[in-house]
Amino acid sequence: MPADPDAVMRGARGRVLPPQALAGLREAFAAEVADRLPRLQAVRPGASAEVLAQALRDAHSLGSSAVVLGEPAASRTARAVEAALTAGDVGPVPGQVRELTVLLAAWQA
Amino acid sequence: MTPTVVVVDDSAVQRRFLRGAIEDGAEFCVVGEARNGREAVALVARLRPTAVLMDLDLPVMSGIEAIERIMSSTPTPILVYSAFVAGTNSENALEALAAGAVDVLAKPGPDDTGTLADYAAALRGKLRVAARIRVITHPRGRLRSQGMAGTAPSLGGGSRRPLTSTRLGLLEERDGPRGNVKLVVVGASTGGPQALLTLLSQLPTDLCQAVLVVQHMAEGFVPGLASWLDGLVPMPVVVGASGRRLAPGTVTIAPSGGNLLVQDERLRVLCTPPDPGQFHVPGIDATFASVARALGPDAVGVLLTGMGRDGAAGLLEMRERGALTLGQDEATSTVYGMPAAAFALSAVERQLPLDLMAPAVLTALGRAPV
Repeated sequence: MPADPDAVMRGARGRVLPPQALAGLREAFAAEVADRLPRLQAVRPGASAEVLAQALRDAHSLGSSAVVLGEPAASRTARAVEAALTAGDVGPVPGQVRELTVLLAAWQA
Repeated sequence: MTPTVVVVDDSAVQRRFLRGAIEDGAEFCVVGEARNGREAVALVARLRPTAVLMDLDLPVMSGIEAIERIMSSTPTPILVYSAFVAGTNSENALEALAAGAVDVLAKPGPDDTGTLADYAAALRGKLRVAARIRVITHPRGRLRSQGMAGTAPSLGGGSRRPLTSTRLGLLEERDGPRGNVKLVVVGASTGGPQALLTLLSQLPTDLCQAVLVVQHMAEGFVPGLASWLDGLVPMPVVVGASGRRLAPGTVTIAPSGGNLLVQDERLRVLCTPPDPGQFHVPGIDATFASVARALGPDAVGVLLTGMGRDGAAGLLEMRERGALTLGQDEATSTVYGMPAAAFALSAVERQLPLDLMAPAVLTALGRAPV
């Protein structure tokens, strides 16, 4: 977590919420990552349509939420996962998700 | 009383962000949050908020279906907030507007240059406008609930129930054929995409006249509007370009970013920058006024639903030069703003419900209503 709790929002996106709301946002994002990232990490070529549909939703949500948290790199990577899944090309997804995992781990560190 | 808002998004992060952004300044109060379309429909029915902020990509029930259901049972201004409405996804925006949403706003993306504070301010601005809109029950959802509408592409025909002779009888003798009409020009704003779909669905492919549409629309959405309509209405739909001529039997949509002016009776068009301080782009007044000057009585002007008063002065100019001018009535307008302003100026020769607009146009062109 950054030393200045507002640093993420102020630095990357400009501040819009008071500090307590930002703290709540970070908690919500951490919960979302804990919920959605493991499902993305489990995606492999040959996964069922149901698994891929859920993964698409997970990548989409993480991509949108990462923007709010001031993490454009994680957002872009999540969007790349979403684009690959939308195109039905699961091949690059495990590698993209590994990159996303690293970026999100850095955010949580 | 503070306007109330229900937020619909399956992401807790987004809901929390939106609540903070909306309530900043205490102008609005978020009274409820829903995680999917089904929850949204129930929550809106229970809480009766002033407005709804809705994502499109929702589990359990999609945003589009939720919009349809809300607009058929508890009509409420819905502002769509989604990543699925930007760029190449702009057809989703049109689909949402056709389902009854009053406006769309793209979620911030990783490469946007503005700050979240800018974004929150824009969001509140859109909500401010949406909250003032008095919406009506939307036919598409109503028809779906009655089992009269099928898959999305046919929903445009939701308003295409066969017109009875009694309904057509509302058209008067003065609605008969009018001279040598070369162009039908249509202006629309809030609620316009659905109204355009209803109107254009009833115009046949072999129309000898050109049709020009000016729909208030943010930069980048017009190609999506054209593509979406092209897939649903009989006539081909294209985006206009400077120097070209409007073709008979073709619907041309004015591009965003400026005004589309008709230069002469050969229907050549010119795209010009918006006037300084012009609020609505593309401007309807500018196009209508150019049609009045180029074609005089050889045009039909139609002003559909929309907030504000753009189009009223231009329609008056058309009427003063002998063109037939039609305005959508209050009962069928999503927002009775522009048509009301035109009516107040005596710019509207005939005020009609939406389902009679195309028959009136066809009658003026000497064609039998489809």
